[in-house]
Amino acid sequence: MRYAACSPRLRFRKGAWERPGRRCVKMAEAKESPGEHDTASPKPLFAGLSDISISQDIPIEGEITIPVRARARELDNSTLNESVRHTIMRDLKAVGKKFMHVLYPRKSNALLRDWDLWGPLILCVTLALMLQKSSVDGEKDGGPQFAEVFVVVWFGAVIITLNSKLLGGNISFFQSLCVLGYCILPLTVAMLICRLVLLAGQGPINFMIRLFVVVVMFAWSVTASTAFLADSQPPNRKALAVYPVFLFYFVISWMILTFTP
Amino acid sequence: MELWALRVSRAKSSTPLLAPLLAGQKKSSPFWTFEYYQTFFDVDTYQVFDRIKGSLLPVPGKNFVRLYVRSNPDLYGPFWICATLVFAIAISGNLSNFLIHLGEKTYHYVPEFQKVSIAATIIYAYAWLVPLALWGFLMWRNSKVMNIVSYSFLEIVCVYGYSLFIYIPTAVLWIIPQRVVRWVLVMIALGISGSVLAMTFWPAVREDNRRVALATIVTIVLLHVLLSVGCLAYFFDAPEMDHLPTTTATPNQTVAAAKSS
Repeated sequence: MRYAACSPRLRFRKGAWERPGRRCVKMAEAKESPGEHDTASPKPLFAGLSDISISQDIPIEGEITIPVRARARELDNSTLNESVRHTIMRDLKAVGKKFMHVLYPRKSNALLRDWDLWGPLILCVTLALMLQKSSVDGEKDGGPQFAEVFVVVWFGAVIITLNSKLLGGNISFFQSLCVLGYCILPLTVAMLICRLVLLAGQGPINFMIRLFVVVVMFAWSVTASTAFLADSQPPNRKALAVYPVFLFYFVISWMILTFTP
Repeated sequence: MELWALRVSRAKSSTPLLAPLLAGQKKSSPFWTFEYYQTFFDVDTYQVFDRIKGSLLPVPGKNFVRLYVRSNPDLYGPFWICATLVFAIAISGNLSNFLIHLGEKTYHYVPEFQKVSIAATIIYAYAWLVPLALWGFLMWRNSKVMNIVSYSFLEIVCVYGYSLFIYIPTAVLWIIPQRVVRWVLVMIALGISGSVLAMTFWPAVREDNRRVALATIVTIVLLHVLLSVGCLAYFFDAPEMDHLPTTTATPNQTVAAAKSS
């Protein structure tokens, strides 16, 4: 049995509006049970994604504590004495693991259980840095500024989360932000590819390649985030909750596609 | 004046400031709780689709509010239809300008991201301030003349929000750079959404003085006309009718000149 870090200094209690967190021991014991979807009810929307989405009986809340490999005899394990490199690598590994979950969505609720906002921040800053207009001489380029991209991404994610909660979804605020932020990863990859392709000069063929890449990555983002989010909505409102996600990634894709250096 | 007092006394749980605006709604939670706002999003997918269908196919004699809204006004439709319309207008305007100026050497494509904020201001101001003014006006007339039909503020916001839906496909079709096509589209969209609005509000002003009733309906339709024509004029450059023939004729002429020499 693996004990997660239970020392009080490490645990971060989530806000009062969320359900009380589980005990550390229970979290260590929880296994990922295969999702059971009742077959008696009529085929719900997005049922094809059921094999890569979470099941209803896994409580969708999580702790922000990164599970530290603790020695069982020593409950007072502090991470203060470890080297800086070790700390950073641990966090980076957690972020990287979630990137893999986004790129290859399979049946796992790691994104929801151990949510963090580092990944979305890294992705958003990377995207905004690459999207901002390159001319620094004050000439009106028309492209989005760094702050505009930042605001669009975070404000958009907050609005979608609020919308999903108002419609009656039982996902927590930060979990939803985490999922929406991580699912920008395919579009960030598309931005990188577009920048590389643009180095070869502009032209119709160039544009066709970029269009194809952006469309594929947009579909990937929407599929990945729908797989994580659709399960938390009441069945007769799934489309209402998913449409704003579609609009959000569409706007980001448009910003990527119209980027001109 | 009795009607006003009746409405105020019914909304016991709201503050005096919000009571007149939201009176008559079936709210039971105080306005600072989350559940209060959830009651504005109490719609299912099929209900939203039904309301959109009702705004696209106005049946003479049928009232949009009584038929579809039926004392369950929602804020989901108005909010997301306005958001989609903002992006539809900004993106279509950008695309259409790009297509119109495609052959010109001196044209440098810019994404014009700032137009999104301008479009957002215009559309959201129209969708929320005009219903506020109309509601205030109807309340004032109600105190003078006893009207059988009266609408709450949210129902008016709902009607205005759903009536804007027709402009989304219209904005996408405005990409076609032909003046005649654009004006035909404007006429069709105005016809449909104007008739939805007129048929909704005619029963509310019918018992009033003839002139006042007609002036109200005319003002509603005029504001609608102003919105659509203004958006067309500001976001979409005027297409020059003789632009395309000159770009295709010039290469032929140069080829012919080269052959003859």
